[in-house]
Amino acid sequence: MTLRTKVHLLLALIFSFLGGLAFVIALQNFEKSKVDKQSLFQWTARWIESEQHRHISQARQVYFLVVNKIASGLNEEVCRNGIVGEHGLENGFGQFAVANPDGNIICNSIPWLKIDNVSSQDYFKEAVRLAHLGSIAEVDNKNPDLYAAVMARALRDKNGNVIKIILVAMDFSWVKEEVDMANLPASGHLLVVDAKGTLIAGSQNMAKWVDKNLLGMPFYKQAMTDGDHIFEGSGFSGENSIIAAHQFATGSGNFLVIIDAPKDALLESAYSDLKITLWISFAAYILTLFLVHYWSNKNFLRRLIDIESITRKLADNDLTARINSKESDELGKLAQSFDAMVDALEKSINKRNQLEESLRQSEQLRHQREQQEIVQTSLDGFLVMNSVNGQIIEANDIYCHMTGFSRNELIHKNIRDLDDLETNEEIKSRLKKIQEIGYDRFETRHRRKQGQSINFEVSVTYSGFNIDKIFVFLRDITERKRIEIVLEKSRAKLVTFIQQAPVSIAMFDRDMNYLTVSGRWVEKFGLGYVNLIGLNHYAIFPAMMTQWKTAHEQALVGATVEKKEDLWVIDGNKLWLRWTVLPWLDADELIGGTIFFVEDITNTKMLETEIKERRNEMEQLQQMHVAGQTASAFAHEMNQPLLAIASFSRAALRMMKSKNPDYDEIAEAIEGCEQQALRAGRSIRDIINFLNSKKLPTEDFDLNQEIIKMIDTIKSENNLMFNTTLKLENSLPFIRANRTHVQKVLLNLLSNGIEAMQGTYVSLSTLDVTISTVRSNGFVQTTIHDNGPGIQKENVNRLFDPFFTTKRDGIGMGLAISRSLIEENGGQLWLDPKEDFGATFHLTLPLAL
Amino acid sequence: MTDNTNVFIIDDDEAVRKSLRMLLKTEGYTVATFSNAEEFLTICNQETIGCIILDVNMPEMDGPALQEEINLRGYKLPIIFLTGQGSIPLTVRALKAGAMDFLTKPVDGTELLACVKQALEKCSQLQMQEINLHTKTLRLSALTERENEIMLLIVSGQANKEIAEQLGISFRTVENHRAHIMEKTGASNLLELVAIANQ
Repeated sequence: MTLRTKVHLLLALIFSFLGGLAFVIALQNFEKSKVDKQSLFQWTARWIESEQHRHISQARQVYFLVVNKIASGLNEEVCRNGIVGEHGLENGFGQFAVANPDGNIICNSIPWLKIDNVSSQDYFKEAVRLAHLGSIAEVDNKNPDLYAAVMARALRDKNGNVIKIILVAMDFSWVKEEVDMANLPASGHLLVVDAKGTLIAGSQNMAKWVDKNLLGMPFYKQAMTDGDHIFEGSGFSGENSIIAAHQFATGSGNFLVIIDAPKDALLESAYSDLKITLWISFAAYILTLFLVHYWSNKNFLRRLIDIESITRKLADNDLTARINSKESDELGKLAQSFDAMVDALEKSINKRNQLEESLRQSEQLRHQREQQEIVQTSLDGFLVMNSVNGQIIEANDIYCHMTGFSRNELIHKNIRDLDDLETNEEIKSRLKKIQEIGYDRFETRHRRKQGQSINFEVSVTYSGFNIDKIFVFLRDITERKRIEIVLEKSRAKLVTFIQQAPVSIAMFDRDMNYLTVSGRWVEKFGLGYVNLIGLNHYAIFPAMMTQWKTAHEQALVGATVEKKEDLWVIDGNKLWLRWTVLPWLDADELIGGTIFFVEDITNTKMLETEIKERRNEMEQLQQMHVAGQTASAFAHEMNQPLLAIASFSRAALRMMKSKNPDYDEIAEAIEGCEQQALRAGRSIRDIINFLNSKKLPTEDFDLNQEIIKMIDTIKSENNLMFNTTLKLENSLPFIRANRTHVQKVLLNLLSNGIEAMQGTYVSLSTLDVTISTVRSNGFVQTTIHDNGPGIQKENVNRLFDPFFTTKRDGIGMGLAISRSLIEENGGQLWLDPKEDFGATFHLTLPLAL
Repeated sequence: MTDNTNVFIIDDDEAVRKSLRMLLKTEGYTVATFSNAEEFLTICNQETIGCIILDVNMPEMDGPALQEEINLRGYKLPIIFLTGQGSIPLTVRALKAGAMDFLTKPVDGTELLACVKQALEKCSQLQMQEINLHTKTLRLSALTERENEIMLLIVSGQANKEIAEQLGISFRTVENHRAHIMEKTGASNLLELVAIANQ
């Protein structure tokens, strides 16, 4: 950089600095005229506080000395008179006292009494408490009206026990009167007012107002209300005063500093200062700008523009451009090194271009070789042809093998000669399309040399306009085509079969859309749709049961799901259905969807129910008949001997009462009685032997399974919904009994509860039957509890008696037979006597050995 | 009539037969027992009197069948049925066919004796009626043809004068005939004559 340049720059710097400085000063002056008042408040506040602190700390030191002194040479006399003789205690603030350890004052100085009721104050008590703990305790009274403190020190004996407490009270109220107002500014209207409105200090202008009350002044009121605030109003400076107020608190109480000044005077002086300084700074800026412009244009800017234009050329790949600067200054050097950089750049770029070219060539060669290899080893046929006219340029062995042509024969052919399916026009438009899009994929048929044709799946890639070749891969799909046709035929057969089937069948895809349905299906489950194909099953039956959805999902993973009896509600009709869902497989052996067979068994089911009812009636009739027959036979067997006994005994009686009794005959009659009685006994035994003559067949089986089966049977046979809770013992060993007997008893006990419920107002859905099994002592004990109406107390004893019944059309043999069946099987059946709600039956059956 | 104390017991059970016989003998009845109906029918005829105690259930011919046979033959023998169990249709049928009573086994002896007594009285009554009827029939057959003709007119309520006019005979002749009719039939007045004629 030349010397001239440096001088120019320096000048510019100085001017701009001066201008800025002038501007800053002007602004500051302006601000100052506003800020002064604020800082004045703060200064005043700080000053007042520091003055007080100075006084208070002096006072404290004095007290401290006093306390120590008292402690070292105290006697009662001194206490009483309050005279220590030093530090002006006698001047009115020597307030001290001596107290017992518990704080009761023994003696005190006279000024002590000036403190209003001091020993009842909290700070006094706190001081006594602290004195017990340490050496000298000092407690401030926080009351702003009475700024005072108490110092206390405990006197102790050799053992450290407190003997007495010395107390000194301090009254700081005098401090505020000591504030020195002499340092306040001499001009302006500055006032310091206490909380009661008394002017306690002021600037010299305010001297005549000192000790006057300002409560009546309007600005005082406003200042008190607004606190720290600057406002316009009527003040000591006149009507248009600007008044600033600041409240602060010191140890001596609350104070208010108020300043007022005439508004116009303040503003004018501030503005005139600002105007002058603004002009100075403006002139300094203009000068600076001029100097900078002149200098930079001459030495800097022109050459910068040169460099910029050369750089632009470089960006446009023009490596020939140079600046050719001969100047030796900084910028000249920059230009020369720039030129050198461009030279080096040009060289290196040329070299790199050469390298890239050779690399590209070798890459192309390798690529071609690879392509050829791929083409020759590919399992698919491969052709290269001219993209414009369709002329074959290259063919691989596989294609030759597939079509029977030799490579040389093919190279002279056109794609039009080979394609057996598409017309010349189609081929033409396809070529055009390939050129536009760049690729294609389609199926077609090519001629063979022998005349037969071959199905191909073709994928085509266009090389690009500069090479104009089309690469064609051809895959033989003759076999696949054949399979597809066969599959299509078999599927069509299946569809026809399903459509014509005399049962309800539907075939769905994986998403449960109808593929085909039988006529019967449309009729039963079509809900009025004529054509279901393509519709979704769940869209037609939105409320389809989750159970069926689960079945559908299971079928989709290969399971066959069937339900022998299922109650559906379709269109408001209750239907009993038997259905099967199974998957069907597509050509790839994958599950393509589900087939759904449904058989309406409502009629069969109803018939079954009716047959069941009839059978039950028949069984009951038969039971009654058998019971009647048995009773009749039994009656006959008994009546004969009974009649004979009655007659013999009546005859004997009459003979004995006659005048000449014939004792032989009487004996004969009585003998007859005896024989007939024996005969009756024999008859009874014969009947019992006859009834018991059949030996009971038994087997070993799982009682838990039997219970579960019985519940299913009852639920399905009666269409009853009642809740069952099973508490069956796990891995219960087999029992040995007659299975039919056990079934009969379980059925009887379970049915009793349900039938009892049917006779009451309680709905069956609230019927809970709890069945538990537990192993005990070589037996299995089964407990059946229902929450039905229970057994009435008067019936409990007769419950198991034959012919006792509470049912309208019962014969009262159920429980009697149940008990005898269980007893025959070596077990017991009884009613739980404790139960007061519902009925509980227990039955035991022996374990298998 | 004093010898009407015959009781016939027909029952297939020996003990029943024996005990009933003993019981009935204490009342002084003449008792004959039979183990089946056929046996009884062989000894029985038109002249037999007494009552039958009959078991309902018997092999071969049962109680009701025997009752039918007896009615058919016109024997005047009251029947007391004994049965193991009283079925209402059977009872009704037997009572309609003229059974005296239908007792259910075992029978209270006192009740049976009362029944037998009643049955024998019934038997005697029937016998009496039979004899009366027989006598009156004999008296009517003694009337001449003319007397019979006139008697029928008297019974139909015509006065002597009307009869005379109707038959074209004299009032006096009718009076003579009437006196003869009254004498032959043994009727003391017109009412008795009407009763005899109605039989």
